[in-house]
Amino acid sequence: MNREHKQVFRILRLAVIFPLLLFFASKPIWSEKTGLSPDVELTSTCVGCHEGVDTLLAKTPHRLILSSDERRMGNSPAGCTDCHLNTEKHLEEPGIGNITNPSKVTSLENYEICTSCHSDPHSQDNPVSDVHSRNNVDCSTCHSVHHPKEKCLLLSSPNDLCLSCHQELSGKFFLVSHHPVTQKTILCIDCHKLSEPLEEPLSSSNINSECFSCHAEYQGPFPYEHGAVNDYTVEKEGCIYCHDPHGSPNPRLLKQPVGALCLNCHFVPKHQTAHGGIWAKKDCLECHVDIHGSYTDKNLFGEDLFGGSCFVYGCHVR
Amino acid sequence: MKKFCLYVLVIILILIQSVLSSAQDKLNLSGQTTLGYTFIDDNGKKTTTEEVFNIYSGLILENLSLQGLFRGNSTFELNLSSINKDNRTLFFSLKKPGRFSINSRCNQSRFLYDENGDFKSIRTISSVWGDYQITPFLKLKADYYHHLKKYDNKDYSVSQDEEEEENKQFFQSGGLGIQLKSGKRYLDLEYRLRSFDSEIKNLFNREGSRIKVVLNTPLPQNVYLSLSYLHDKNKLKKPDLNLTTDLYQGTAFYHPVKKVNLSAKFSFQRTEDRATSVISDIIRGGGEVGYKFYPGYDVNLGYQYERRKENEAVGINSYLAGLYFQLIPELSLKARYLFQKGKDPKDVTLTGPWDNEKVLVEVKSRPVKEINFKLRYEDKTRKNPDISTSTSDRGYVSFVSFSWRSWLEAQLNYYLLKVDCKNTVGNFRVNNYTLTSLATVKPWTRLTLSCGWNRIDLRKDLDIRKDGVVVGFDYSLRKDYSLQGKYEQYSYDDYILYSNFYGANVYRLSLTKRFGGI
Repeated sequence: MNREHKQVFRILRLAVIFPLLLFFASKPIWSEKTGLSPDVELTSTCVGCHEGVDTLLAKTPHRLILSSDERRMGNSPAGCTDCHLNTEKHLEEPGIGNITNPSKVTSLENYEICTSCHSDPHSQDNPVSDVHSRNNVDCSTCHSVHHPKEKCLLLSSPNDLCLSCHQELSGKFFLVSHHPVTQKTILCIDCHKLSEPLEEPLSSSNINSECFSCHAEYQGPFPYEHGAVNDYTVEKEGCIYCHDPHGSPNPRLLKQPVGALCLNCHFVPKHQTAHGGIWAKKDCLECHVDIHGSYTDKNLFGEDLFGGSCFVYGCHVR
Repeated sequence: MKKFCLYVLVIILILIQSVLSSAQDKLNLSGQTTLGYTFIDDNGKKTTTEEVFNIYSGLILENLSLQGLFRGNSTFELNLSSINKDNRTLFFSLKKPGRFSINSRCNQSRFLYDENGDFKSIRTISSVWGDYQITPFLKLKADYYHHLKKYDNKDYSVSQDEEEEENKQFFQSGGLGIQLKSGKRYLDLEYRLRSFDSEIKNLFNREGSRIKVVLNTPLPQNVYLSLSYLHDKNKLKKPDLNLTTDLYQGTAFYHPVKKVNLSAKFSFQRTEDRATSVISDIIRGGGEVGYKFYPGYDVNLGYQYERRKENEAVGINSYLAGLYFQLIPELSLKARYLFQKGKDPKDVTLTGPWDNEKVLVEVKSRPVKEINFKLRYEDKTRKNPDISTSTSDRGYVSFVSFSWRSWLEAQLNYYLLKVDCKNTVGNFRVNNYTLTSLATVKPWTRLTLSCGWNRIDLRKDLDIRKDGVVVGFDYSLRKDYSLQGKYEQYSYDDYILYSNFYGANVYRLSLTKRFGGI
């Protein structure tokens, strides 16, 4: 067993055993003392007419509490009337139109209902600033309280839900080079964080930080940087300047073939003359190996190159 | 790695056993298991088709899932899937709503770099995350993430001794956080440590830390405020190289009247290289106005400026205009236009000044209950006049879905993308169309039939055709058993590089057993 495995085991042991002790030592925070308990009598009245709703919700986190005994067991604090508002008229004269249906109200109203309980950053996305809310995509577009088909009360698998609106991307995930999203090795939400409110579409500080969580070897810092890689320099955009993260017809998610891509910024006439003949078909990356950043050379040359003919015969001086 | 996975599995089984034995409440269990056989018959260069990288011939435990619900609403879930030679996925969670949750996920997959599969990487991502609600207002959070990349090729080895060769890269990150919440007020504090170790090139080795604070709060007079601070450190372990980033962000929203909303954003980011004392500053600010002049009719205008400073200033001005019209309940129109102008008066960048333009027009309609369609046009252009470079991406999306009662569902998506890049030496042009289609038919309750076809066609500077066909069925044998079969066909042809071709037929047959009544 090597060093990193031992380290992982130590952390795993702590991460599993300590919370497990807490799990058995704890009771749910909502109890009769907190005043968060739902109206048991009203909920029972609803179930009296809407038969089967309790059975349907019993499989979900919104399991209904129908007796005081159950309330003490720590069931969900939400009753029917916490989501279906304006019940007074409906109780007097039952009908579809005189009670709030959270899936048929405006985005803002839908947001208000759900966030009255759900307080994590994802659900707190501001209905004005969030790009989904602005496009009338609210909680009930992806989640269903009564008829969920996937975990977290989702209507479909997370990737399918995203691609059901972003259809232009479903083709990109079939291109020659693509992130394995359709194979479900990674999820859309692994990069497009839904839990970070009011920030850039991808992450808190920069887009690169999402890329580096898997491709950590390219993060640096490097003594000799490739400006385009870093989004904190005067260049802009970082990794996505050269790579299309969804999919590309070129290898390694490159937006263009290597040579053409480099020429977008680097027009170096000497390369076309001195590197004629047998060198003409050379890719830029055959010499500039450490293209993401180098520890040894300002031209981002690979270390092996210095032992080769480029520097031995006097064409290039290190 | 096998030992590691076994260890995780044993911990999870012990956890389940301990939960089951100590639970005083009644427990309802449910789940399903799917065992299958896969056969792949392929020919050509496998690296051209990523879809087959993790398909192996032989027996496969496609899925083993187990869900438990205690009477007190506590739940646990165990899910194992795609268990075969080099890949596997494992998920485990234990939750007590309103108090506690712990989750764990492990995923292993293969990536191929050469046609024989001799050069490959095995990537293993494992993570554990959880939270503990101390009071209704205070929650503790913790997580640990580890990513191991193992390259199976001697070229990546630094050791001359083949038996002791090490081709691994190891990234880990662990965080602790506190979340305070009262109504819609929210404060989040997070401290994170991370490290990266490479046995391929130990110069890569580094460590870092991050402190993050986020505060969101509503204020009187319909104002909503969000503030955040982030402090990030990155340090190489061997050379003395430190990079420190401080980021301050502030956002405010204001609804002066019901029809109008205003938003303003500001951020300042400073990155400092301690070795060279070079400081890079980025300042961003902007605002947006939205006006709803009739229910379903919105327009918005925005402006953002950005200044990037590292010796000399680079300035970027962005302008946005957008509209959303719900013309009738069955028809909506969305349009957006973004223009960005980058200035580089001192030629600090290699690219010089630039102009960016983005146009998006989208029409969505549901003429009848059974049919949905969407048309979308997008055009992105970027021009760098000083270096005679320009890139243009023009895309057209048309999507139709059709559903008939509960027994027929079909969808068709056609995406045409025209890429045109020019530079001083030449052009790169690709016309690319993608067709994806999927249909599901349920002729009677016990049988579901599905079929789909994907095609990518790349023309001009590339000449590639790629097809994928899938046909499958799902038949319920008895109450708890079902039989599934699937045939997938992949083909890839490069008409410029003739050696780049691939064809595969994949046959899958599996049996599912469901159990439990919840």
